[in-house]
Amino acid sequence: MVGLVRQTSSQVHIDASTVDLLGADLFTDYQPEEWVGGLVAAAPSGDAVRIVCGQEIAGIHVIAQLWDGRPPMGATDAEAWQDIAEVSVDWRSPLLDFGTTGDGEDQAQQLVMPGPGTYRIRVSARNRDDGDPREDGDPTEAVRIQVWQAPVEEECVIKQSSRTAHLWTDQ
Amino acid sequence: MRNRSSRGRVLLAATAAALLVPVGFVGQAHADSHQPVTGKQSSTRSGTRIVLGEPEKPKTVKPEAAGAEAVDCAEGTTVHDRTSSCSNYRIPVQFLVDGEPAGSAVLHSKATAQLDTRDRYQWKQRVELKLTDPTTPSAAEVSATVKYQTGRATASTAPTRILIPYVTQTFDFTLSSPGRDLVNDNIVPYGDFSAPGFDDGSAYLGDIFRPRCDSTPRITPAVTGGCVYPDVPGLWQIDVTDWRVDSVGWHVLWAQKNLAHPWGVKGTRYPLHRTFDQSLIADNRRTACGPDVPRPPRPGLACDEYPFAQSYEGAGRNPDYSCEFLNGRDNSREGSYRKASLNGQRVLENDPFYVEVINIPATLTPQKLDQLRGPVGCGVES
Repeated sequence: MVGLVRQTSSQVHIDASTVDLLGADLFTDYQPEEWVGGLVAAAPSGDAVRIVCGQEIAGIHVIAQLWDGRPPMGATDAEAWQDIAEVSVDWRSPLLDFGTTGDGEDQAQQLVMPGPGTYRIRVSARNRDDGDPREDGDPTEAVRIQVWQAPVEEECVIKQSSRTAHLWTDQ
Repeated sequence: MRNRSSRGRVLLAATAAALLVPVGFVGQAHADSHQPVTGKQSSTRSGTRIVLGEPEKPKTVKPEAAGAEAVDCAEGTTVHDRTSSCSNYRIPVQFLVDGEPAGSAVLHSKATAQLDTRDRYQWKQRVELKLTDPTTPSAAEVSATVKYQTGRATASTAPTRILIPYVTQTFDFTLSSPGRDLVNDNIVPYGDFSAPGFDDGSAYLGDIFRPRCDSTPRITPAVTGGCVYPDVPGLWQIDVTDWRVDSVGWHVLWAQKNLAHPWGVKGTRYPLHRTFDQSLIADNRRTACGPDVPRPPRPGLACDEYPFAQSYEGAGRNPDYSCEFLNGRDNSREGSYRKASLNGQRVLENDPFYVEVINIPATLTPQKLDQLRGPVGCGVES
């Protein structure tokens, strides 16, 4: 039975529209031309995944989970999140940092990885359409990152319902 | 009868640019850069010595348009951009015997550096020396050992070379800024010159340049850091022929031409200064595009502000700003590209940078630009 190995969460400040999942060197050159499901893109060179948000400058609530297999996707999940998409990525670094603008020292903004290999990353996002910028009391944009080791698969869009996602996928 | 065993002195006097007074040097440092850096004083003043006079004061020139190529400099000039430097001296040389002129030559010294914005632990510097116009056989016996004076950086060594007249001798070095702290260094090449029958002397061979090296996280790969010359502002260019960011480019162009001050216009006294301060950035954004601003008239538009919220000149501290609604994807992409570009130039907290809108059509008139962009305050659709 598939289980959750570890989880961490943190409020992440973004200043350029993305939450960045990076390796220990805290850096990527990757600039996606397209976003899977209007939500996520994985760097072909590995060790980087970028998640586009509904706001340019904001505090985003991020949950990061490491699973030992594909996490279940139930009806509750589908209802709780506006957009859900999956990508595969090579990951060599011992950690996955999602702090984006932090100093790289906050362990609450890092997920320890089990080792180098190919990973599947499922990104779920909600409250993407509630304005930019937002006032106190407005919904906080949130992202859940679920990570597990798995062979490479085609990227897939599980759910796409937000206006923000359509902004990025409609041409 | 001349005392052939007299020890003369090789003296080299070279000028560093008047602005570049050395600070924190290892070894003797002199405010007057015409003085030798190190050297043995002759115990006699027999007057049999080589004297190098002051080089012509180099003229500071501006680098050519920003590009990937390192700067170059003609003789008598000095130039640097954010990642490379060059100074080119012409140093008169005189040979004295018993205090009387007995010959002359010219020493040409070109010193260059190419910093690495992604590696503080190795970047390249070079000194090229050439002796010309000798009027005495003694000129063919001069040998040079070139080194660097630095504050914290270390430099590799280069072999001593004989300055064969009219042959350029090249001395290549690898420099490194150790540690992980942010370091403002002072680096200048100098030469130790010797010739049979003469005491060694030394002098500067180029301008003092001041690189800054750091390992700030999330700028470039953290393990290697990088270096720049921070006195040269960074530059962010927005291409109005690039469909991914053109909306933002038009807005910035309008703002630079119509606000009370030319914020970020290259070469003016109004560069922007980068900030990573989360509360300031949020305040700038909220002031320009917050609750007092109407919501976008239709989906797909985003509020864009200039000067950028990620600068000290943003709306939270500066009432002279512009905002408008424009293509949301352009707004998002431009911010991401700008962040990457400034990171690549190692534009750190409070560093100045300019913003240049490029590929503007020659046919664009002020009236046409006014039609494209509305007045201060959001509400005019891109």
